[in-house]
Amino acid sequence: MNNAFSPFNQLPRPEIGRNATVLIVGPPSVEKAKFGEQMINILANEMTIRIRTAESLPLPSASTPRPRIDFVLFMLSMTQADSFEVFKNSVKKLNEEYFLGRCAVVVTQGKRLEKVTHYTFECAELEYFISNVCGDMHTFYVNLTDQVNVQVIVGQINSLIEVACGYKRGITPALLRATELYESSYTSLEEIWEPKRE
Amino acid sequence: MNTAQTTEGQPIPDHTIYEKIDFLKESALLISLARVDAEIKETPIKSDIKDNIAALIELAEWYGLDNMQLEQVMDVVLDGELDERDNNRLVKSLIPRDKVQEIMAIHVLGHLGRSPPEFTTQALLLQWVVIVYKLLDSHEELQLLYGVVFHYLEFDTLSLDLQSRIGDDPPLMGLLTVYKGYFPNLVLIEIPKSRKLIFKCPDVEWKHIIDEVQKRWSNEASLSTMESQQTALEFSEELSEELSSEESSVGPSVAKKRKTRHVEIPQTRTLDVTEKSVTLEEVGSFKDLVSNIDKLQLPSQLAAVLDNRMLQHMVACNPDETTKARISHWLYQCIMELLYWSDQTPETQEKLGDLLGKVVRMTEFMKELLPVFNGFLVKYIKCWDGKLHRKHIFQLLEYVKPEPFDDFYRTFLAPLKRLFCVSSVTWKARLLRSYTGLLKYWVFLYRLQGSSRHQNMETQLGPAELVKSINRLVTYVDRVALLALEVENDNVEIQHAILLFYEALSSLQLEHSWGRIIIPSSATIYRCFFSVSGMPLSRICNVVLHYKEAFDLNDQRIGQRGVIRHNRDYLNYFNSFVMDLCNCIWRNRAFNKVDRNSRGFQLEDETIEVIKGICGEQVGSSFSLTLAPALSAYSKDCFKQLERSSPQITRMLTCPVTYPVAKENENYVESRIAYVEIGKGDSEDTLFQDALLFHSQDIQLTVAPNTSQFVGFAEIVDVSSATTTM
Repeated sequence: MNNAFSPFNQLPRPEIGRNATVLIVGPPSVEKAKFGEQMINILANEMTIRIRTAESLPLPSASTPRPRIDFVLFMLSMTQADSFEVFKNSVKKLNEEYFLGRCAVVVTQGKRLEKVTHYTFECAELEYFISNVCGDMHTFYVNLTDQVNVQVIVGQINSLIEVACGYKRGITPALLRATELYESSYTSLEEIWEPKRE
Repeated sequence: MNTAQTTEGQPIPDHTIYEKIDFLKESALLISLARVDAEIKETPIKSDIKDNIAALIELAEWYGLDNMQLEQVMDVVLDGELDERDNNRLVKSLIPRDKVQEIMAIHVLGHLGRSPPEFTTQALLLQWVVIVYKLLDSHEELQLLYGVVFHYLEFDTLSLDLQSRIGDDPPLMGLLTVYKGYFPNLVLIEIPKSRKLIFKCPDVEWKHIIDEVQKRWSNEASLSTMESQQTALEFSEELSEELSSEESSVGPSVAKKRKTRHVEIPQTRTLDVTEKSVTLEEVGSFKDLVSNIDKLQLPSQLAAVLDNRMLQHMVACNPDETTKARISHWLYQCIMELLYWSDQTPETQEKLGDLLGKVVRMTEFMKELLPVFNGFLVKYIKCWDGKLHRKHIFQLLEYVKPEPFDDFYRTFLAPLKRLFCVSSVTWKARLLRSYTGLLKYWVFLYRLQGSSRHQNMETQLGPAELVKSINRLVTYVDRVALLALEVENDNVEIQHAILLFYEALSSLQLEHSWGRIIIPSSATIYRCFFSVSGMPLSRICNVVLHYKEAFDLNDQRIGQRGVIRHNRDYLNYFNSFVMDLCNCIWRNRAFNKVDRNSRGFQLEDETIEVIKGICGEQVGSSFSLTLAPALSAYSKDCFKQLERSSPQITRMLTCPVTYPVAKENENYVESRIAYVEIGKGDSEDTLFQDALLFHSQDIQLTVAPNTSQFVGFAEIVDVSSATTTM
């Protein structure tokens, strides 16, 4: 299947040096390209980052082979309700291998310095969904107009990418999750997933 | 004519503004006269008035009005001679350039309920007062008029009637919340906590225009201040020095800017004073405070506690839920305004940092984090980037009240752990230090539960739940510490933070008992012990020594609160650490599994064989006091000192100090004692300070002078725990 992708379905590119391909998923208005560009610029001295963008998952069929996707970033905007919907639908189509430290959520606070009163969904709503469906997926809140904040967040995402791509010797995504504690009181999955409609 | 210029260099058309105002004043006067005297017919045409108002608004929205202009426009509005629509439009031109005189707000209140002006105009004027409230040059007299405002709210009957009539009106509920803070016994209804905006800005657009004008003029004002200072400099050198010491050193514009980036904490002022009571303003020294502590009247605005150490003493001495509720209410409003109701700009972030700094100082003094800040931390940490206000957040984390561990994990530890995985070494180390502070605080609260004082600081958890939370916190930190060591390749900064945690824990367990003594995980001990730095090696030995003493004391304390007997397997497990460490350092028998309780650092036999293959016969002494990688440099220095000081030695050692070499030259035992003494005597170096190395050497000499019959702590612990349960 052309539209299906997983972390290990292709060999890494035979390049010298550290490189990674990141897929950013989100609706057109969440400024994926801008954030991707900022990632490339900020991490220019650390590693070669290739950014691919998609509006939702699953990916449409492609005639040419796709590159290996090392990391998936879901981008949401607090001011756009549809971005949350796109995330909710797309995350269900993501290969399960990515849930083990190979994906993260980036939540932007809108194009300008907008007020919290303009938010279309609550952070708690997002956290609830992530904790129930995606486990311990990293969530980064970023203000795209604040360069310092963007730099900090990109640096943090880079730490995850390095681990996901195996650039940190002896450290795996599973090891980073070794200190997690689980509770039995979480909502069962049946309550979250919708039954398949024929 | 005013010849001042804006920062853009344009002349300010004040004369045009005055012309417009004069025209409106004349128009109002003529309209008024025409009403009285029918013969006067030369009233201005309505369209002229409208045009002038429109022009005035346009000018005011860019240049603002100075105080005199504001006063004149206000007079026209309050006279109410223009028609209602024009008057209402004219109110919109009340855009101040600088501070607004308090008297203008008082004038507005003075015209409430009268006509003219019309009620719609009065409502607009009240909105204007709300918007410019923070720009008033003083609030003292206005605050005395609260009764007037409340009169119109039917507040004399506590608004409960009003509340029952109109229901949960947010502004009314907000007022009742404030009132409940002062008199909880009078407001008995349940007021739901709401994150919604209670007192909304009545006209956001209007406020925005005023803010813009203020911003424009704050630069202008600072420029004019500088000009006036320069004039002053010409007249007096003395004055110049004074100015330079106060404002000019920072630059007036910077000083002003800095001021606007600080949260305004209310001044300490007491309004409701009785004859017998003493106000805080009257207290001049700590001695006065102590002698009048029972008569002191709390100030009207308790938020002043953030800036006033004397008041903090007073609140700490008279802890009261009402007092805390009043402080919390102010802080809550302040946080909401900075974080949720305002744009996230560098100014608001700086203000938040300033507020957090004050809260940290107060919390550290009172040893208690207000619940409102507990709630703030829970929300803030979830969206935190780990960098902004890092210092303050970590400091506040050390005072979070204990709660059931699962809840605590979900609200604090899980989000922090996510940040932990993606942050720098320094951040990780700082978080571990915060956990150390938190552990100390929880143990402090556990101790308080047993005492009668500070009832108010006790946690809602019972002693059993608290002990459970403490123990689970220790276990959790141990896991996180190991993860940090692994991820950061045994970085010294991380080791230091971990050792601080265990030093605190071992000391606390030495002083107090709250159940089972929790020992560090084997991996933590071993990793620190085999570090290439002397610091973690020495300190982990010290930690193990403290644990040994804690186990000894525990047996003596059986029967006291929180003291339990330990299982023998558990003791033997701890003994294995002591034996392995002693075998390595003192007995040249590293990785030995034959001795009682020794486990060879829990290595597989195959692994030990591989090590033997690499090190050969010397494997036993490879990690000894003289040859261990972390100590070999010290040992070399020490032996050089011994050689220089001893006249009998004629040959100087050129190779590493091994057991046979040292034995050949000197008495090996004595040389090791001298080695430890030299290390301990160096005050600049913390190595060997009170460490297991030195103490084990003492015991070695006391119990078994012969090295071949060395007795470690393991046996001593065994002896003391001979009566333990199985």
